[in-house]
Amino acid sequence: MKAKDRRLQVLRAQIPEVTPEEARALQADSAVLLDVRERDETLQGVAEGAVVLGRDFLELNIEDVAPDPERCVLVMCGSGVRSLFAAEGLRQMGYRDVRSVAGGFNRWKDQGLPFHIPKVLSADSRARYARQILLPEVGERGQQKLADARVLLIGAGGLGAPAGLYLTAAGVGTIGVLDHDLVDRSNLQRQIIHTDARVGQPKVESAREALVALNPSVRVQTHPVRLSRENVEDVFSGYDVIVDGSDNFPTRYLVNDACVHLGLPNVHGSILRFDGQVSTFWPAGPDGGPCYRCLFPSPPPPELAPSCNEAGVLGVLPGIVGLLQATEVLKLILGIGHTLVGRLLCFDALNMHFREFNFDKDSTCAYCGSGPFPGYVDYGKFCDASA
Amino acid sequence: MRACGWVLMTNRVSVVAERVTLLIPAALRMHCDGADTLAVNAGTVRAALAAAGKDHAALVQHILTRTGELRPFVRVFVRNNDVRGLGGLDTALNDGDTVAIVPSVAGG
Repeated sequence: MKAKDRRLQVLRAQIPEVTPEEARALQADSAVLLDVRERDETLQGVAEGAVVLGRDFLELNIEDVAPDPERCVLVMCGSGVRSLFAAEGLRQMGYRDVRSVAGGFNRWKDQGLPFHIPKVLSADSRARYARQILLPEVGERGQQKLADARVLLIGAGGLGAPAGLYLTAAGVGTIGVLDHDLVDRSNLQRQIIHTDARVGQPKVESAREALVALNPSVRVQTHPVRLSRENVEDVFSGYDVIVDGSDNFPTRYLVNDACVHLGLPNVHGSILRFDGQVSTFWPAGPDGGPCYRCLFPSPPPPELAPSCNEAGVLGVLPGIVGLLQATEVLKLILGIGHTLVGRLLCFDALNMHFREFNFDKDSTCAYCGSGPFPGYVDYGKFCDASA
Repeated sequence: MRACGWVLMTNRVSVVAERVTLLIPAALRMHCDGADTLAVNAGTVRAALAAAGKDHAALVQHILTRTGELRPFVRVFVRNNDVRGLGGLDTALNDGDTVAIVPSVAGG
């Protein structure tokens, strides 16, 4: 008898084995199912609910998947042999209830139990995003989430430019760009997605050119329109996250109301002179949270609301604020970290201060409260009527 | 030791005036000679704004309505919390508190 067979005989006596059907039932009873096969093997399919954790990094990463050593862990490989060795490693780490799935994935599949064919990154994508995939919080699974995500930039201006470039670089699969304007030379001091050679072009086309040049795999959807209550739901319905980089109050309230109505996260950024503000409004999200109207129920009257055209803006400021927005978007897609839901981050560039303020949902808010959606309004009039 | 100790009467409650700092955003600094902070002695947010308004009336006009209420496009935060969740303009201030004024801005 070969040494490996002698070892397997010992392991079979020590490690309890379960059939795929029994594993399925234990999964429903909170057991975690680990698939320890090589990456190429998992391309044939992965059992429903299984966590793919290659044998090479099993001991290093198991605590991210199953931090409680008392939890039942089911280990699966291709045929039920390597899973015995993996199970032994977990027992040595202190996991008390570790079982091996007899027959492995082959038997699971043969018995008609549910599985899916995983989406995998191409070799080019694995190379391009290597530094990001290295992060345990991202990994290949997170990178695939980014590839599947659809993010809409409201405005290809100071905020949309850096946000769009970095989200594209990070591998967000679909980027929508909404802007009705043309590139003006006065934009170039801060709107770094555009170039001097593209002055006069529609901003959405200029942005598309820059984004595709940076990452040819990105799908750019252009919306060369002015956002209105008539088109907002059609435009937003194809996206998972909205990045508000607009430059006027009527659009900001329209974006808020549509996001609330459609249940979409609204990653807000705004700038003036040397100051920036960032928050994430997502009343329909897992943490609930306030909307833009909860923070600012109504806008300032036009005479008290100077724009960047009138009051000026430091060129680098939207770069910083737009990238804070991009960071929020990546966390939302990946489901990691803590977003700015319920918090307003204020940046003072002159004094280099970041300050964070807490604010609550307004229980009387007509838009994100418990009542029916009040509908869209005439946002121009709404803002003109403010006092 | 408190920095100072005179007594103001606000809403019939005696409040000890404290040394506090108002943080002025860039958008409003033109109304207070470019200052990014104003140091005042006040026991409540309302009193702090009133103290600032003595020398900078236009600043306070951007923050409060004519009837003395907080404008809906300006938020005030004490100890990093929205005063609407505390005591509103009557939120009591402690010695050394910062009172942050944050107006909504729309630039992008």
